Amino acid sequence: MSDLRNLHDAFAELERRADATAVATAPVTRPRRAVRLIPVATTVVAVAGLVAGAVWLVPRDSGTDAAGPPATSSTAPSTARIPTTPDELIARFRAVLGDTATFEVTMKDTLPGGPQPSTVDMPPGSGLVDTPSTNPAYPTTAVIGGTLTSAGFTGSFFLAIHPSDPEPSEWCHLSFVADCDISTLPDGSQLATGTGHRAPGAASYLACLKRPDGTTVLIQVSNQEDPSGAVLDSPGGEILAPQPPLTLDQLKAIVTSDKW
Amino acid sequence: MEFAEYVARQRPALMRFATVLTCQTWLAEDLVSDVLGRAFERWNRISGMAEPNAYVRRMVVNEYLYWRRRLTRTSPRAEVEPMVISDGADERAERDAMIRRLAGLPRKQRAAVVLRYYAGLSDMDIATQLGCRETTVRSQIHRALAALRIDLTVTAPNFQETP
Repeated sequence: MSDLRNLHDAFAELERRADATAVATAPVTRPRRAVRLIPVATTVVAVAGLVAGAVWLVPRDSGTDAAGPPATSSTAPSTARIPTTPDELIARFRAVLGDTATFEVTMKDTLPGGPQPSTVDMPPGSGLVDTPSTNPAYPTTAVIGGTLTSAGFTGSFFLAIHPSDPEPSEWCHLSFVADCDISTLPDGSQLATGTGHRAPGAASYLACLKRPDGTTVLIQVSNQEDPSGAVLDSPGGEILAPQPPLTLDQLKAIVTSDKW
Repeated sequence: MEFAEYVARQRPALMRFATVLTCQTWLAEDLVSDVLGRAFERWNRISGMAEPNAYVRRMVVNEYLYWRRRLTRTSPRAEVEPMVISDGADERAERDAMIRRLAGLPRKQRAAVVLRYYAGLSDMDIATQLGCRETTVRSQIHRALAALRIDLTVTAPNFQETP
Protein backbone atom coordinates (compact mmCIF):
# COMPACT_ATOMS: atom_id res chain seq x y z
CA MET A 1 0.00 0.00 0.00
CA SER A 2 1.22 3.51 -0.82
CA ASP A 3 0.53 6.87 0.70
CA LEU A 4 0.25 10.43 -0.51
CA ARG A 5 3.99 10.86 -0.37
CA ASN A 6 4.32 8.38 -3.21
CA LEU A 7 1.76 10.32 -5.17
CA HIS A 8 3.63 13.56 -4.60
CA ASP A 9 6.86 11.83 -5.59
CA ALA A 10 5.15 10.85 -8.81
CA PHE A 11 4.00 14.43 -9.36
CA ALA A 12 7.51 15.69 -8.69
CA GLU A 13 8.99 13.28 -11.21
CA LEU A 14 6.47 14.35 -13.82
CA GLU A 15 7.33 17.96 -13.08
CA ARG A 16 10.98 17.14 -13.55
CA ARG A 17 10.19 15.61 -16.93
CA ALA A 18 8.20 18.70 -17.87
CA ASP A 19 11.10 20.95 -16.94
CA ALA A 20 13.51 18.75 -18.84
CA THR A 21 11.31 19.04 -21.90
CA ALA A 22 11.14 22.79 -21.49
CA VAL A 23 14.90 22.98 -21.44
CA ALA A 24 15.25 20.70 -24.42
CA THR A 25 12.82 22.52 -26.64
CA ALA A 26 12.08 26.16 -27.11
CA PRO A 27 8.58 27.22 -26.11
CA VAL A 28 6.23 27.14 -29.03
CA THR A 29 3.08 29.19 -28.91
CA ARG A 30 1.08 28.35 -31.92
CA PRO A 31 -1.71 30.60 -33.14
CA ARG A 32 -5.11 28.98 -33.02
CA ARG A 33 -5.90 29.01 -36.67
CA ALA A 34 -7.23 26.58 -39.12
CA VAL A 35 -3.77 25.95 -40.48
CA ARG A 36 -2.80 24.72 -37.07
CA LEU A 37 -5.68 22.31 -37.02
CA ILE A 38 -5.22 20.70 -40.36
CA PRO A 39 -2.39 18.29 -39.73
CA VAL A 40 -4.15 16.40 -36.99
CA ALA A 41 -7.21 15.72 -39.01
CA THR A 42 -7.39 12.29 -40.49
CA THR A 43 -10.66 13.07 -42.16
CA VAL A 44 -12.31 16.19 -43.37
CA VAL A 45 -14.92 15.85 -40.68
CA ALA A 46 -12.21 15.70 -38.12
CA VAL A 47 -11.14 19.08 -39.37
CA ALA A 48 -14.68 20.32 -39.09
CA GLY A 49 -14.95 19.08 -35.57
CA LEU A 50 -11.75 20.71 -34.53
CA VAL A 51 -12.74 24.03 -35.95
CA ALA A 52 -16.21 23.72 -34.48
CA GLY A 53 -14.63 23.38 -31.10
CA ALA A 54 -12.75 26.57 -31.63
CA VAL A 55 -15.57 28.70 -32.95
CA TRP A 56 -16.33 30.33 -29.67
CA LEU A 57 -12.69 31.16 -29.08
CA VAL A 58 -12.18 33.29 -32.10
CA PRO A 59 -12.52 37.07 -31.85
CA ARG A 60 -15.44 38.58 -33.61
CA ASP A 61 -14.29 40.15 -36.80
CA SER A 62 -17.19 39.91 -39.11
CA GLY A 63 -20.47 41.60 -39.63
CA THR A 64 -23.96 40.35 -38.97
CA ASP A 65 -25.68 38.32 -41.58
CA ALA A 66 -29.38 37.81 -41.75
CA ALA A 67 -31.15 34.90 -43.30
CA GLY A 68 -34.45 32.85 -43.58
CA PRO A 69 -36.21 29.46 -43.22
CA PRO A 70 -34.57 26.50 -44.56
CA ALA A 71 -35.84 26.49 -48.03
CA THR A 72 -37.48 23.43 -49.42
CA SER A 73 -35.32 20.47 -48.77
CA SER A 74 -34.04 18.46 -51.61
CA THR A 75 -31.82 15.48 -51.75
CA ALA A 76 -30.93 16.20 -55.34
CA PRO A 77 -27.23 16.94 -55.59
CA SER A 78 -26.57 20.54 -56.38
CA THR A 79 -24.77 21.16 -59.59
CA ALA A 80 -23.52 24.55 -58.40
CA ARG A 81 -19.90 24.91 -57.47
CA ILE A 82 -19.56 24.46 -53.75
CA PRO A 83 -18.43 27.48 -51.74
CA THR A 84 -14.70 27.47 -51.29
CA THR A 85 -14.36 30.75 -49.43
CA PRO A 86 -16.00 31.84 -46.18
CA ASP A 87 -17.74 34.76 -47.86
CA GLU A 88 -19.23 32.46 -50.46
CA LEU A 89 -20.34 30.13 -47.72
CA ILE A 90 -21.94 32.99 -45.78
CA ALA A 91 -23.88 34.09 -48.86
CA ARG A 92 -25.01 30.54 -49.57
CA PHE A 93 -25.98 29.95 -45.95
CA ARG A 94 -28.03 33.12 -46.01
CA ALA A 95 -29.88 31.86 -49.08
CA VAL A 96 -30.49 28.47 -47.53
CA LEU A 97 -31.78 29.89 -44.26
CA GLY A 98 -34.07 32.45 -45.80
CA ASP A 99 -36.03 34.09 -42.99
CA THR A 100 -35.66 31.30 -40.48
CA ALA A 101 -32.76 32.74 -38.60
CA THR A 102 -30.25 35.51 -38.33
CA PHE A 103 -26.64 34.76 -37.75
CA GLU A 104 -23.47 36.58 -36.87
CA VAL A 105 -20.22 35.15 -38.11
CA THR A 106 -17.43 35.38 -35.57
CA MET A 107 -15.13 32.85 -37.19
CA LYS A 108 -14.40 32.26 -40.81
CA ASP A 109 -11.55 30.36 -42.28
CA THR A 110 -10.39 28.49 -45.31
CA LEU A 111 -8.75 25.14 -44.84
CA PRO A 112 -6.31 23.82 -47.39
CA GLY A 113 -7.47 20.78 -49.28
CA GLY A 114 -5.77 17.53 -50.07
CA PRO A 115 -4.13 14.97 -47.85
CA GLN A 116 -2.24 16.38 -44.93
CA PRO A 117 0.62 14.81 -43.05
CA SER A 118 -0.42 13.31 -39.78
CA THR A 119 1.20 14.50 -36.60
CA VAL A 120 0.62 11.16 -34.95
CA ASP A 121 4.14 10.14 -35.75
CA MET A 122 5.73 13.39 -34.66
CA PRO A 123 8.52 12.82 -32.19
CA PRO A 124 7.16 13.21 -28.67
CA GLY A 125 8.12 16.51 -27.15
CA SER A 126 9.79 17.65 -30.32
CA GLY A 127 8.20 21.07 -30.16
CA LEU A 128 7.87 21.02 -33.91
CA VAL A 129 5.44 23.44 -35.44
CA ASP A 130 3.16 21.80 -37.94
CA THR A 131 3.01 23.52 -41.25
CA PRO A 132 0.03 22.64 -43.37
CA SER A 133 0.58 22.11 -47.02
CA THR A 134 -1.65 23.64 -49.61
CA ASN A 135 -2.07 21.62 -52.75
CA PRO A 136 -3.63 23.60 -55.59
CA ALA A 137 -4.90 20.34 -57.04
CA TYR A 138 -7.36 20.09 -54.17
CA PRO A 139 -10.18 22.56 -53.52
CA THR A 140 -10.18 24.33 -50.20
CA THR A 141 -12.76 23.94 -47.48
CA ALA A 142 -14.66 26.98 -46.24
CA VAL A 143 -15.75 27.02 -42.61
CA ILE A 144 -17.70 29.59 -40.65
CA GLY A 145 -19.04 29.80 -37.14
CA GLY A 146 -20.67 32.21 -34.77
CA THR A 147 -24.00 32.89 -33.17
CA LEU A 148 -27.38 32.17 -34.65
CA THR A 149 -30.79 33.33 -33.53
CA SER A 150 -34.08 31.75 -34.42
CA ALA A 151 -37.52 31.75 -32.79
CA GLY A 152 -36.18 33.79 -29.93
CA PHE A 153 -33.35 31.42 -29.11
CA THR A 154 -29.72 32.32 -29.59
CA GLY A 155 -26.96 29.77 -29.74
CA SER A 156 -23.76 28.96 -31.53
CA PHE A 157 -23.27 27.34 -34.89
CA PHE A 158 -20.57 25.84 -37.02
CA LEU A 159 -20.88 25.22 -40.75
CA ALA A 160 -18.55 23.66 -43.26
CA ILE A 161 -18.73 22.31 -46.77
CA HIS A 162 -16.07 19.88 -47.81
CA PRO A 163 -15.27 18.65 -51.26
CA SER A 164 -13.93 15.37 -50.00
CA ASP A 165 -14.94 11.96 -48.80
CA PRO A 166 -14.96 11.26 -45.07
CA GLU A 167 -16.32 8.12 -43.50
CA PRO A 168 -19.85 8.56 -42.11
CA SER A 169 -18.92 6.83 -38.90
CA GLU A 170 -16.47 9.62 -38.20
CA TRP A 171 -19.10 12.31 -38.38
CA CYS A 172 -20.68 11.67 -35.05
CA HIS A 173 -17.64 10.09 -33.47
CA LEU A 174 -15.66 13.31 -33.68
CA SER A 175 -18.53 15.61 -32.80
CA PHE A 176 -19.43 14.43 -29.32
CA VAL A 177 -22.75 13.12 -30.53
CA ALA A 178 -24.22 10.34 -28.46
CA ASP A 179 -27.14 9.04 -30.47
CA CYS A 180 -25.83 9.06 -33.99
CA ASP A 181 -28.16 8.00 -36.73
CA ILE A 182 -26.91 7.42 -40.25
CA SER A 183 -29.35 6.89 -43.06
CA THR A 184 -29.20 6.68 -46.82
CA LEU A 185 -31.44 9.01 -48.77
CA PRO A 186 -33.15 8.11 -52.07
CA ASP A 187 -30.46 9.80 -54.14
CA GLY A 188 -27.74 7.83 -52.41
CA SER A 189 -26.65 10.63 -50.09
CA GLN A 190 -25.82 9.62 -46.57
CA LEU A 191 -27.25 11.69 -43.74
CA ALA A 192 -25.87 11.58 -40.24
CA THR A 193 -27.70 13.24 -37.39
CA GLY A 194 -27.28 13.22 -33.67
CA THR A 195 -27.53 15.11 -30.45
CA GLY A 196 -25.06 15.74 -27.68
CA HIS A 197 -25.49 16.78 -24.09
CA ARG A 198 -22.18 17.81 -22.62
CA ALA A 199 -23.68 19.25 -19.45
CA PRO A 200 -27.02 19.51 -17.69
CA GLY A 201 -29.17 21.90 -19.66
CA ALA A 202 -26.84 21.86 -22.63
CA ALA A 203 -27.71 20.47 -26.02
CA SER A 204 -26.02 20.37 -29.38
CA TYR A 205 -27.37 19.06 -32.65
CA LEU A 206 -25.42 17.78 -35.61
CA ALA A 207 -26.47 17.13 -39.18
CA CYS A 208 -24.04 16.06 -41.82
CA LEU A 209 -24.83 15.11 -45.40
CA LYS A 210 -22.45 13.30 -47.69
CA ARG A 211 -23.61 13.55 -51.25
CA PRO A 212 -22.93 10.86 -53.81
CA ASP A 213 -20.15 13.00 -55.27
CA GLY A 214 -18.45 13.08 -51.89
CA THR A 215 -19.29 16.66 -51.05
CA THR A 216 -20.10 16.95 -47.39
CA VAL A 217 -22.23 19.60 -45.71
CA LEU A 218 -21.87 19.72 -41.95
CA ILE A 219 -23.67 21.96 -39.49
CA GLN A 220 -23.71 21.89 -35.74
CA VAL A 221 -25.67 24.13 -33.40
CA SER A 222 -25.79 24.36 -29.65
CA ASN A 223 -27.34 26.40 -26.91
CA GLN A 224 -23.84 26.87 -25.51
CA GLU A 225 -21.03 29.18 -26.51
CA ASP A 226 -19.16 26.25 -28.02
CA PRO A 227 -21.20 24.70 -30.86
CA SER A 228 -19.98 21.25 -29.94
CA GLY A 229 -20.83 21.82 -26.30
CA ALA A 230 -18.61 22.12 -23.26
CA VAL A 231 -18.62 21.51 -19.56
CA LEU A 232 -20.45 24.16 -17.59
CA ASP A 233 -18.30 26.92 -16.15
CA SER A 234 -15.50 26.03 -18.50
CA PRO A 235 -14.46 28.01 -21.55
CA GLY A 236 -17.22 27.64 -24.10
CA GLY A 237 -19.61 26.17 -21.58
CA GLU A 238 -21.81 29.19 -21.07
CA ILE A 239 -25.43 28.36 -21.82
CA LEU A 240 -26.97 31.03 -24.03
CA ALA A 241 -30.54 29.79 -24.23
CA PRO A 242 -32.80 26.99 -22.96
CA GLN A 243 -32.44 25.16 -26.25
CA PRO A 244 -30.46 25.32 -29.48
CA PRO A 245 -31.72 27.89 -31.96
CA LEU A 246 -32.60 25.28 -34.57
CA THR A 247 -34.18 21.86 -34.31
CA LEU A 248 -32.69 18.68 -35.68
CA ASP A 249 -35.30 18.66 -38.42
CA GLN A 250 -34.31 22.17 -39.40
CA LEU A 251 -30.70 21.09 -39.59
CA LYS A 252 -31.68 18.20 -41.83
CA ALA A 253 -33.50 20.64 -44.08
CA ILE A 254 -30.46 22.87 -44.19
CA VAL A 255 -27.93 20.23 -45.16
CA THR A 256 -30.25 18.69 -47.75
CA SER A 257 -31.22 22.02 -49.27
CA ASP A 258 -30.77 22.35 -53.00
CA LYS A 259 -29.68 25.94 -52.57
CA TRP A 260 -26.10 25.07 -51.69
CA MET B 1 -0.06 41.93 -18.13
CA GLU B 2 1.07 41.45 -21.71
CA PHE B 3 0.59 38.00 -23.19
CA ALA B 4 4.30 37.51 -23.77
CA GLU B 5 4.98 38.31 -20.15
CA TYR B 6 2.28 35.90 -19.03
CA VAL B 7 3.74 33.13 -21.14
CA ALA B 8 7.24 33.79 -19.87
CA ARG B 9 6.03 33.61 -16.30
CA GLN B 10 3.44 30.88 -16.40
CA ARG B 11 4.32 28.52 -19.20
CA PRO B 12 6.68 26.39 -17.09
CA ALA B 13 4.00 25.99 -14.42
CA LEU B 14 1.38 25.19 -17.03
CA MET B 15 3.70 22.61 -18.54
CA ARG B 16 4.21 20.97 -15.17
CA PHE B 17 0.50 20.96 -14.53
CA ALA B 18 -0.27 19.52 -17.95
CA THR B 19 2.43 16.90 -17.62
CA VAL B 20 1.09 15.77 -14.28
CA LEU B 21 -2.35 15.70 -15.83
CA THR B 22 -1.42 13.78 -18.96
CA CYS B 23 1.63 11.86 -17.74
CA GLN B 24 3.21 12.61 -21.10
CA THR B 25 5.54 15.49 -21.73
CA TRP B 26 4.95 15.57 -25.46
CA LEU B 27 1.21 15.60 -25.05
CA ALA B 28 1.43 18.22 -22.33
CA GLU B 29 3.52 20.41 -24.56
CA ASP B 30 1.08 20.14 -27.42
CA LEU B 31 -1.86 20.75 -25.13
CA VAL B 32 -0.30 23.81 -23.49
CA SER B 33 0.72 25.21 -26.85
CA ASP B 34 -2.81 24.84 -28.14
CA VAL B 35 -4.31 26.46 -25.08
CA LEU B 36 -1.85 29.34 -25.14
CA GLY B 37 -2.62 29.83 -28.81
CA ARG B 38 -6.28 30.18 -27.95
CA ALA B 39 -5.56 32.38 -24.99
CA PHE B 40 -3.50 34.68 -27.17
CA GLU B 41 -6.42 35.26 -29.47
CA ARG B 42 -8.70 36.34 -26.63
CA TRP B 43 -6.07 37.76 -24.34
CA ASN B 44 -7.79 41.11 -24.05
CA ARG B 45 -10.69 39.38 -22.33
CA ILE B 46 -8.65 36.93 -20.28
CA SER B 47 -6.16 39.48 -19.02
CA GLY B 48 -9.03 41.53 -17.64
CA MET B 49 -10.20 38.69 -15.44
CA ALA B 50 -9.51 38.54 -11.74
CA GLU B 51 -7.50 35.35 -12.11
CA PRO B 52 -6.26 34.92 -15.67
CA ASN B 53 -4.05 32.00 -14.78
CA ALA B 54 -6.89 30.08 -13.19
CA TYR B 55 -8.88 30.55 -16.35
CA VAL B 56 -6.05 29.37 -18.57
CA ARG B 57 -5.48 26.38 -16.33
CA ARG B 58 -9.15 25.56 -16.62
CA MET B 59 -8.75 25.72 -20.37
CA VAL B 60 -5.99 23.14 -20.01
CA VAL B 61 -8.24 20.84 -18.00
CA ASN B 62 -11.09 21.29 -20.44
CA GLU B 63 -8.83 20.66 -23.36
CA TYR B 64 -7.50 17.54 -21.71
CA LEU B 65 -10.91 16.15 -20.84
CA TYR B 66 -12.58 16.88 -24.12
CA TRP B 67 -9.77 16.99 -26.55
CA ARG B 68 -10.89 15.78 -29.92
CA ARG B 69 -7.46 14.75 -30.96
CA ARG B 70 -7.20 12.32 -28.14
CA LEU B 71 -9.31 10.04 -30.27
CA THR B 72 -6.48 9.54 -32.67
CA ARG B 73 -3.48 10.55 -30.70
CA THR B 74 -3.69 9.30 -27.18
CA SER B 75 -5.64 6.12 -27.09
CA PRO B 76 -5.37 3.25 -26.79
CA ARG B 77 -1.63 3.72 -26.68
CA ALA B 78 0.20 3.49 -23.38
CA GLU B 79 0.32 6.92 -21.86
CA VAL B 80 3.66 6.78 -20.17
CA GLU B 81 7.01 6.77 -21.84
CA PRO B 82 8.84 3.59 -20.88
CA MET B 83 11.20 4.23 -18.03
CA VAL B 84 14.17 2.03 -17.48
CA ILE B 85 14.89 1.29 -13.85
CA SER B 86 18.61 1.56 -13.94
CA ASP B 87 19.56 1.66 -10.29
CA GLY B 88 16.82 -0.56 -8.89
CA ALA B 89 16.13 1.77 -5.98
CA ASP B 90 12.88 0.95 -4.25
CA GLU B 91 11.80 4.57 -4.12
CA ARG B 92 12.24 5.06 -7.80
CA ALA B 93 10.51 1.83 -8.60
CA GLU B 94 7.58 2.81 -6.40
CA ARG B 95 7.46 6.27 -7.93
CA ASP B 96 7.41 4.95 -11.47
CA ALA B 97 4.81 2.39 -10.53
CA MET B 98 2.71 5.21 -9.13
CA ILE B 99 3.07 7.15 -12.38
CA ARG B 100 1.95 4.11 -14.32
CA ARG B 101 -1.07 3.67 -12.07
CA LEU B 102 -1.83 7.37 -12.38
CA ALA B 103 -1.62 7.15 -16.15
CA GLY B 104 -3.94 4.18 -16.08
CA LEU B 105 -6.73 6.03 -14.33
CA PRO B 106 -9.81 7.03 -16.26
CA ARG B 107 -9.44 10.54 -17.56
CA LYS B 108 -11.85 12.20 -15.17
CA GLN B 109 -10.55 10.35 -12.13
CA ARG B 110 -7.03 11.39 -13.00
CA ALA B 111 -8.08 14.99 -13.43
CA ALA B 112 -9.84 14.93 -10.07
CA VAL B 113 -6.79 13.54 -8.30
CA VAL B 114 -4.44 16.02 -9.93
CA LEU B 115 -6.70 18.95 -9.16
CA ARG B 116 -7.01 17.85 -5.54
CA TYR B 117 -3.52 16.70 -4.66
CA TYR B 118 -1.43 18.66 -7.14
CA ALA B 119 -3.37 21.86 -7.66
CA GLY B 120 -4.82 21.80 -4.16
CA LEU B 121 -8.35 22.71 -5.19
CA SER B 122 -11.43 22.18 -3.08
CA ASP B 123 -14.17 19.72 -4.00
CA MET B 124 -16.33 22.64 -5.05
CA ASP B 125 -13.66 24.08 -7.34
CA ILE B 126 -12.93 20.67 -8.82
CA ALA B 127 -16.63 20.12 -9.42
CA THR B 128 -16.75 23.44 -11.25
CA GLN B 129 -13.81 22.54 -13.43
CA LEU B 130 -15.01 19.06 -14.22
CA GLY B 131 -18.63 20.04 -14.65
CA CYS B 132 -20.02 17.65 -12.07
CA ARG B 133 -21.33 17.62 -8.51
CA GLU B 134 -19.14 17.64 -5.42
CA THR B 135 -20.33 14.20 -4.46
CA THR B 136 -19.18 12.97 -7.83
CA VAL B 137 -15.79 14.54 -7.24
CA ARG B 138 -15.45 12.77 -3.93
CA SER B 139 -16.53 9.52 -5.51
CA GLN B 140 -14.05 9.93 -8.35
CA ILE B 141 -11.22 10.67 -5.94
CA HIS B 142 -12.16 7.78 -3.68
CA ARG B 143 -12.09 5.35 -6.57
CA ALA B 144 -8.90 6.87 -7.93
CA LEU B 145 -7.10 6.52 -4.61
CA ALA B 146 -8.19 2.92 -4.43
CA ALA B 147 -6.82 2.31 -7.92
CA LEU B 148 -3.61 4.09 -6.98
CA ARG B 149 -3.42 1.87 -3.89
CA ILE B 150 -3.11 4.89 -1.66
CA ASP B 151 -4.11 4.52 1.94
CA LEU B 152 -4.77 7.97 3.38
CA THR B 153 -4.55 6.66 6.93
CA VAL B 154 -0.90 5.89 6.38
CA THR B 155 -0.20 9.54 5.78
CA ALA B 156 -2.54 10.95 8.35
CA PRO B 157 -0.07 11.03 11.25
CA ASN B 158 2.27 13.24 9.26
CA PHE B 159 -0.29 16.04 9.29
CA GLN B 160 -1.11 15.89 12.98
CA GLU B 161 0.36 18.44 15.29
CA THR B 162 2.58 17.24 18.03
CA PRO B 163 0.93 17.68 21.41
